[in-house]
Amino acid sequence: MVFGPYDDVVVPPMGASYSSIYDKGRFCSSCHGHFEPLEKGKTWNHSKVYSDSEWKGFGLKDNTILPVQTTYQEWKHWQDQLSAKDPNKGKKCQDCHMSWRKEMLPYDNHVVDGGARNMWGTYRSPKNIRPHHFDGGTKTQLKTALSMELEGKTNGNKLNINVYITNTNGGHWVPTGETMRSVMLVINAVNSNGKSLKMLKGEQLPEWAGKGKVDAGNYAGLPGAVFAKVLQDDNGNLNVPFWRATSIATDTRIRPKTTVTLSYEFALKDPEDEPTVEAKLIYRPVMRPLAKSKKWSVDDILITSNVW
Amino acid sequence: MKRLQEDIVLKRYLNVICSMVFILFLYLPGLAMAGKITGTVKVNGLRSPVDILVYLVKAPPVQEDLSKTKFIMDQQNLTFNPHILPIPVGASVDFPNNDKVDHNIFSLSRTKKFNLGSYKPGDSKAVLFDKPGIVELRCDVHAEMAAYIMVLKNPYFSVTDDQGRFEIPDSKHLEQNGIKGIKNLPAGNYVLKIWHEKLITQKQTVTIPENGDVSVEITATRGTPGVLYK
Repeated sequence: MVFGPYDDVVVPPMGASYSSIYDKGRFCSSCHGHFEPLEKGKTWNHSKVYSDSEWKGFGLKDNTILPVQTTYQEWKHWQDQLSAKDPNKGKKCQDCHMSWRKEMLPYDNHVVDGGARNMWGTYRSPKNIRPHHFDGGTKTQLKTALSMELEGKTNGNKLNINVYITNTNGGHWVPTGETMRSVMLVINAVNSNGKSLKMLKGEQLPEWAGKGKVDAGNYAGLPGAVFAKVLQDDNGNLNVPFWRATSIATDTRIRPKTTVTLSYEFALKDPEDEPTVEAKLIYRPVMRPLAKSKKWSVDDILITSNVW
Repeated sequence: MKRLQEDIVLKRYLNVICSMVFILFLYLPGLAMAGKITGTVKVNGLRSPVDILVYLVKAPPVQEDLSKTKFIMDQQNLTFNPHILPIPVGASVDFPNNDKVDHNIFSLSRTKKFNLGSYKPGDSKAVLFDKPGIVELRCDVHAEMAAYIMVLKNPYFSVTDDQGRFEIPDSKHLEQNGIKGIKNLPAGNYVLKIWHEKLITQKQTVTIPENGDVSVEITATRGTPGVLYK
């Protein structure tokens, strides 16, 4: 027998049967969730990382289990919080990861018709067809998952910049899935002569954003921020693989449809100068230290950039 | 005799009136509006110079009520059309769905946040844009659909054609969308800027003379764009 989401399919040789689960987000949950029990007797303090509501959303009874991958739970928690009137209520995995792509057009190429239809095909409107491309961490998906806006103001010898990063299209936290993924915000503030301005206030990128030449994708110490789930072992080592992890150090990933605001202050020697700030939002599939130790060559993807 | 004198006076009177009308006819356009800015944008690093916004940072705003404007952002074949839609602040935009599938347009831009929900082919919804800035449009279920509504402080803007040509004001475009009477710019100095999602933002000063148009040429390079207004 073959199961599917339509209840009107009659294909005797394949034993076509209807199952409602195919059109629900729950269908994806069996693979897109990964929970690791800690060694017997060990616990970890989740309240430093997650709100009560988020922790409850993972569905864990106690803190003896590490939520390593929680994509399905992130989506479900978001959906459960929405009111019935919210336009996003009812959006499910299939809506975004099994939707039409431009390269598939025209629609008629995918409508069951002709000979097959005469035998046992059923006409499907394009809006009822679910293309099976399952786009995930592709450029197309990533470039539209997040958006960024900049706002700036000079005030005497200071330049203040606000960066607004929004999870626009992700129905789960971004980045999601594998914990080796990260999104980095990299800021470069310069005066009118192109000389870097000293940061007075604001976050810096951590060591694991890469030490070395900036041109080679090493951003440690630069003004910016990182969005990732960071697994930790008992010795305080960060970004360890899940089988060595005993806790989650931080989880700064961006929640669905929410905006993170980050503020930075730079020193401006000449109050009359016209400084420029460039901000880049970069997706990194594998954190730099891990990629280096494994000798993996993985390219970053520029999600978006903006200049003030 | 008296009749003849009256005719002469009347003729003189008419001559004076005609002369005054003629002088006004020559003088008034110069007083009211001086000219247009026409030009071309050349690009390095892009296949085509089409869809580049060219606008004036400061210029007289629209005085009339914009509630009857009919700017349109269409949806067809998983694409927003046009890709970039400049409008003056206070104008509304209709979002007809002329595709074969449902769409869910939304914006989380700080200039205007809205979510039209999922709606069917043949339906349309409208949004009023009451604050200047960039509005990034998305469709919740078709990730590659993206377009920009540029909400501008004045009606002096244009979008380049496939040859990179533009004309400010774009009276034809404005009239098609319900804004009439914007023909020329007053004489003076203006800061002209360009915006495209893949081009470094450029600006230059343009002087409109007392009468006549002015032509400018801009060269833009691929890179990160800036904000509309600093």
